[in-house]
Amino acid sequence: MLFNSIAFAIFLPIVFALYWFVAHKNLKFQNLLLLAASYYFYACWDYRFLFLLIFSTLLDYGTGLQMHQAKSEQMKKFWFWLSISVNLGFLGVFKYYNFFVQSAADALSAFGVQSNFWTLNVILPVGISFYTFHGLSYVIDIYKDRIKPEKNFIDYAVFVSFFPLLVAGPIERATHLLPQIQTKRIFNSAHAADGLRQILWGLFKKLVIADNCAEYANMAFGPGEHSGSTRILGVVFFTFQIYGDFSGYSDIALGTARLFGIDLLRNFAFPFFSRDVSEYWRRWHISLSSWFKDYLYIPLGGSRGGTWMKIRNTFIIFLVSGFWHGAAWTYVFWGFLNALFMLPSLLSTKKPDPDIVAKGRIFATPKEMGQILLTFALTVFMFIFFRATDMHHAFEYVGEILSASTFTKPFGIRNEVVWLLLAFIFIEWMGREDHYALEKIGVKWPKPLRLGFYYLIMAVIFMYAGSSQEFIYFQF
Amino acid sequence: MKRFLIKFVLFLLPIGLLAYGLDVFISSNLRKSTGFTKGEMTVWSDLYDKKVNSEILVMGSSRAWVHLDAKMIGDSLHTSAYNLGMDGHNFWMQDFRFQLAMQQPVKPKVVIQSIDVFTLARRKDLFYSEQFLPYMLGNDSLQKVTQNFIGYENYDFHIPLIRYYGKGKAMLEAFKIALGGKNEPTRIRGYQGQLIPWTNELEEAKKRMNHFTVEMEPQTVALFERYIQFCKASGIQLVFVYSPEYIEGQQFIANRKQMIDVYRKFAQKYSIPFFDYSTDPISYDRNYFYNALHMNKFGAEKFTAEFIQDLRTLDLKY
Repeated sequence: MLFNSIAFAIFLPIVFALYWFVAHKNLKFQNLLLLAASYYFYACWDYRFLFLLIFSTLLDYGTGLQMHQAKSEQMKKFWFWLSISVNLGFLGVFKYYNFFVQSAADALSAFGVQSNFWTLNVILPVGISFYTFHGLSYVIDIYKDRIKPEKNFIDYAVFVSFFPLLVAGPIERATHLLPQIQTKRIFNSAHAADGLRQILWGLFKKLVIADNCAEYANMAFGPGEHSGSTRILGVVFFTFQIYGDFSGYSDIALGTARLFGIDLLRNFAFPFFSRDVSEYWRRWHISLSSWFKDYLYIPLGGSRGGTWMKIRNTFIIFLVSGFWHGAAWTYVFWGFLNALFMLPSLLSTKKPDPDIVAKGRIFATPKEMGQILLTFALTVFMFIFFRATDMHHAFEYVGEILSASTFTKPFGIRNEVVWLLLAFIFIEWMGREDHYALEKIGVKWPKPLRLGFYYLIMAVIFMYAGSSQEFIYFQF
Repeated sequence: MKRFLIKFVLFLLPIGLLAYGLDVFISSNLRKSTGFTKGEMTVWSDLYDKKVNSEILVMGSSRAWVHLDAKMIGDSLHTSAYNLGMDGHNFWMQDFRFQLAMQQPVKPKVVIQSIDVFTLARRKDLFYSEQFLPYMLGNDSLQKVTQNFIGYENYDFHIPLIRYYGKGKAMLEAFKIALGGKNEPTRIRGYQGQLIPWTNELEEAKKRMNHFTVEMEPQTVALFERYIQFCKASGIQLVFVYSPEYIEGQQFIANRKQMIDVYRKFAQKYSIPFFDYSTDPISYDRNYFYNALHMNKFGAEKFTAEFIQDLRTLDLKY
């Protein structure tokens, strides 16, 4: 069930009405309803994998309790590693089996050894990378005595499976989400209205920006000969596509959760206005970056061992992050490039500015503009490897960009898409100091003007929604 | 909570109330469009407004649309003619146009069926789906025929405005027409000569593959036969015409001969005159074409004149 489908438009009001009108007096009933709705939501994708989700939930719930009750450190370790191995085992089989088999066969054939490994036609269960990471963080936190295990299975299952975040995040933490699930929610009109606003902006990003940019990007990355200029534009459009797609999804998820009185972790903070790659990663897919920071970078020693350890650990988390995105060398190389382009920040002694660029001002300085454009250019370059079907395709794509055809007119630009992109960038810039661009824009305007602005956005969505494309991050 | 819901409903209410009015406004203007979706709406509007009213009908795909000048045929044979040729659609949708033509005050007496290798194939997508937009609301027959294609959902035919979702160009075209924007006729009696230079599509296709094989679809063949039987039973004189096709393009279709044999068998079985111009001198001259399947305006008008002479040899009654 896609967020931008008729099915979801029917599903959401029904769950909302039951949640606030039927189950509102009883927290347990509310949570049970959320769980049932979440499992239904997931089963709409593929009911067979619902059992995998339930098994994974039971496993982490059970091992969490066992670790807490373990009488010896050895038993605690046993339950911990059982959970980690089974979780990563599932991820390995469903996501990486064919990749490892194929890579091994390729490596052997490079040495002249012909192998006959079996590859399997494995279907990737939607959201497995996300809910596995939910479970892992929960188990690791219990093992490290940061949290106590949740005794109520329904509450824990809602934490793992809450439908707005189930298939593409944000990757939640038990410390943040579980207390909200355990506490009685009271309906807050302002909160809910804010949620609707965020959903509206998420739909604009997904349906207008991402889906329209996808058409050009698919053409530029697709078969056939394309000039270097078309390729450049293709990857720029892909960059906007993936941002519109994923941050749009996150906005809809956060907005939807807010309708149920729940706040999810922020996932994006205007990454394309970053001044360097390091800042970009503090603003892009924040819940994943912070997950890797807390559960991989810091356990590896973080930056405590000096510059070289910092560099080593940065490369490790980016290579793993690349691999998390997909079982292909293109993703690993994308991760490597990110780490490489972070080197200047890693070697710099200057303390990073935690604030958004040009805070309190309308315009950025020329220096800041230069930094933003350079960071954006590097990001765009890296996305070639993210989008390409394989390394050969990626290098061929780069090769075309480096040819003389880059100085020709790009093929088939739709003017309206360019105008929509410019309007989008403008609104994002104006709202960059808030949680999402539309959060405060127009809130203080006179009511008719404010409502007119929302109607205008709805009209633009209605008129210019691109042809429907699947959310990119579902495949991860 | 109540206040929130009331506010939300009040916010959505104007959209719901405006939807029907906007639908009527957009649809009534869009159906006047002469250029959108290559002028297909001109034909649909003539059909729905009962303005086709012709004794001779030309039926077929884009090859009919750009090859047979209906006005020239009508003027030469001293009667009325209309070209219902439809870009990109196989017989399934062509037949739907024929059914609408049969509802006109003046019923056709002669139907010239332009055939090609794709007539009896069937595509899954609803090509140029925007062409149906202004006629869809509450249109059961259109819903029935389009539900076999990937394009619209059932609710698109019943909920006002919803089918225009993502169709910004169509809406802008309607507003442009409403504001008196340029909307000059493109099709004359359904025909539109094309002043397009040779496009190299054939050369590009040849680079991708050696040959192309067309798949005939049994249900479409059955429908085609039912259509012939209906014409026979209704006293409509049917004429098959295979208009010129550029010779190199003919060689590119692997099963072209088998496809033509199917038409030939139907022609023999039902005693239908069949004019095949595959080896006509026009087919050997690239100057008359803009791609392998389609003649340009010069080719089309030269061919129409030739075809009219051949039609005269038949004892057609109209």
